Amino acid sequence: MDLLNSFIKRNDDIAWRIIDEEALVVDSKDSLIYPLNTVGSRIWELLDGKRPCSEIVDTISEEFEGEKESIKDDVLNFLEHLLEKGLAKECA
Amino acid sequence: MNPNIKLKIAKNIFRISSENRRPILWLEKNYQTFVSNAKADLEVSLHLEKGWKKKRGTSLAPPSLRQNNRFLSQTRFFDIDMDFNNRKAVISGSEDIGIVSVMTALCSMLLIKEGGFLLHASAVLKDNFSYVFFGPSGSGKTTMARLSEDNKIILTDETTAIVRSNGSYHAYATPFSGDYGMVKKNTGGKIKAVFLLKKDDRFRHVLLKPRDAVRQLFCSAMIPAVDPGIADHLFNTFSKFTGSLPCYELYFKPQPSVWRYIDGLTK
Repeated sequence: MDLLNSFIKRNDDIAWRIIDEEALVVDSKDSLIYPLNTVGSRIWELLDGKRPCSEIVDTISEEFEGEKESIKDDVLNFLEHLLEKGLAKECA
Repeated sequence: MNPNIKLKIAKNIFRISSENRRPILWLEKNYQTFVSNAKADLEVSLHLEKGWKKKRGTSLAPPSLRQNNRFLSQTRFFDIDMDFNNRKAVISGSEDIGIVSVMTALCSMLLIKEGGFLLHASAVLKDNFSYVFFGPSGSGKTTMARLSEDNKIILTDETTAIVRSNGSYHAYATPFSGDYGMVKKNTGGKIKAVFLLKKDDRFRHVLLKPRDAVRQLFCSAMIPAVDPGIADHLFNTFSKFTGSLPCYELYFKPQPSVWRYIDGLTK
């Protein structure tokens, strides 16, 4: 999958809330709770399925400090984890 | 009329009836402190069959508080159908059903529906205020109960009912006890503070950030079934709860002097 050009969205089965700028994500399938850090929470907010992942990389690079290439790797890595855990899905 | 018993747990009266006398006799013997004569808030019918098996692929919907004010759930050992409009619950299961699991599930869902929850926690009543101590097994819940035997009332060493009433939160005794054994008094009180326990070799505390407190409550609350609707409802409940009460991480030595530390912290 060309993740950078994919449109990813949060899974509808997931309940989440941002408290103090950090997200808590509850997966009701296995009753697990995932705390996300500030960067992960911002990515999570952006996962509405309306923008390609490359745009998410751009937004994170603008809002957080770091080398763009390294941010890109981290964002894609994080998205792969979300897909793997079933917390997010690729839009058709 | 089928054998039945009425139990008051927190503010709710449950009338449990069953054609099978055994679970009723067990409740009469073990939950004496909680027996009540008041009008029931929830009529619970137990339908127990020999050789009952979970019906896979039945039409039971996923558990949800949002569907027609009804909660449906299947566990490995029994099915629950709670109808909040008619204040009725039907439990189907095998003859050797774990009645404690049934009662905790019913109690938990009713509390959640009313903006409260059931928490793995010990709770102590002192000067009309309750203090709630939660954490995983071995964190010191029963130890805190034992350290409170002087002039305080131990509400529970294992499972606390958290009730929202008139905009504030109250902790109540439950019959779901741990190693300490059955509590002697069915009572409760407005919560003064909540403590996430950590055994240590000195006393110290950290005020939990709201997000960390909400996360810890998700881990310690007794939730019989989670779906996105229930999880979302609990986010609201836990956010209100942690926003209205001080929640501390309490590192403590298992000594009676822990109460001097708590008194200093909450005065």
